[in-house]
Amino acid sequence: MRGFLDFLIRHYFTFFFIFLQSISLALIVQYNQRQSVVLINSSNRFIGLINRKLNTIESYLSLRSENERLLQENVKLRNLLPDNYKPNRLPQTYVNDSNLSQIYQYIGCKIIHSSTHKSRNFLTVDAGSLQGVTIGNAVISSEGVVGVVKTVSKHYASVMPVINADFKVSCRLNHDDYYGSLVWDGISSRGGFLNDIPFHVKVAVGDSLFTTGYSNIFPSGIPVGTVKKVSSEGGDNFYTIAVDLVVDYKKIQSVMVVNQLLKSDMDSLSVEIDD
Amino acid sequence: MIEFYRNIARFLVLILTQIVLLNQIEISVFFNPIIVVFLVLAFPFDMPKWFALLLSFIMGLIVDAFMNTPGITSFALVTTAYFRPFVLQIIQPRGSYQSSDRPNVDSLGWNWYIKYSVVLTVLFHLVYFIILGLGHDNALISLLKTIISAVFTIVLIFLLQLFTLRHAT
Repeated sequence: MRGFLDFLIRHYFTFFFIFLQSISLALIVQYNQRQSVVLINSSNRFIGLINRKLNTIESYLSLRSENERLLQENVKLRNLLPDNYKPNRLPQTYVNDSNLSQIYQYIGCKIIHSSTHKSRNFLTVDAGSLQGVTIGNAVISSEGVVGVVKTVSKHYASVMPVINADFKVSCRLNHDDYYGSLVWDGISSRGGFLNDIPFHVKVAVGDSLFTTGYSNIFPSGIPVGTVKKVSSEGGDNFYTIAVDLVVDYKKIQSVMVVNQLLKSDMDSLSVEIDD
Repeated sequence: MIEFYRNIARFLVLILTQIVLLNQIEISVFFNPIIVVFLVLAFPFDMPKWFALLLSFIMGLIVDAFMNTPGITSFALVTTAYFRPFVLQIIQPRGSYQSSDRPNVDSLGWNWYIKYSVVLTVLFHLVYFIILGLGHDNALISLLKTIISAVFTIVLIFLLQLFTLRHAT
């Protein structure tokens, strides 16, 4: 026993080193699992506060282009107002509210911090659990898919964007029902790869990609990107498709979090199947 | 005591530089310098070794919190702090260190300081980018990220040394 204690004391430096490194490793592993609760990240209240201060300075610099974008969106939405339309014929069916359940709830929020040139880029938004944001919610902008909510605090949430090495979303081609999974190319802030599209599918440069809705996260039909280059290299039976993402993460300032209200229903189904 | 306050001030200034300045520069994924490693380089020689480890761990967690990389910076910083005593021993000047020596250019000269800072800064960035890229990046990309970011960090550290050198004389 004494010999063992001596051994511990003599090598305390190395043991302390191993001890600290295992905490770090535990943090790394825990963070890489979905649905994990992590304290150390940008959705933390204090860090959110600092990031918000930094953002107020940044947002002044891009007010002009942001205003222009908002104007365009206003025009688009105004065109959809019911006042603009006259029914062609009298309504034939009466829709009762109790017959419909709301599937998606949209929560508008502002990006208060973002990184676009790191290996694990992140966005922090100023809506949290108090506003109804939950882990795993989709995040979209008026242009298309932005990312997925990774962690949530009371007032803030951190979002994993498409340009994060851990992100994956299933997409289908506009003219075909074939779908593959889209990942970031790891380098450019607007580039991605679409995998798993077999050779017999016709793919052309400029084709649009939309979400499938299979993942229970994104509503289906949200734009993701356009095909930039198609090549058939590599040993597999699948194309290598380079994709231009629709969202410019360097400009984006406001987004919508999509809360899928029926997600728990669907999840409980798949749990029953797993059992 | 003045030394103590100076260290605290240096700690705050560098962490702020990292968060407010370096993390906001977004040029390329390959450019991601972590200047906080300078704090580990600047630890006094007589600081207890376990305390150096603990301090690097805490500093790493603070940086991680802002960069959404929990555990990664702290892992790399603690690794650097662990290997620092061995590096110090290997590059020890003739007749070992004096009690008045500080790990800077003023005290031990450029020749010693370049060896010291380059070895530890490259080690730090190598560990950092390998852990960061696990499962995503291949070895070549991780290595390229290491070289580009480490070179920039080393240049910054040398600039810091030049700056303090002028103050001292």
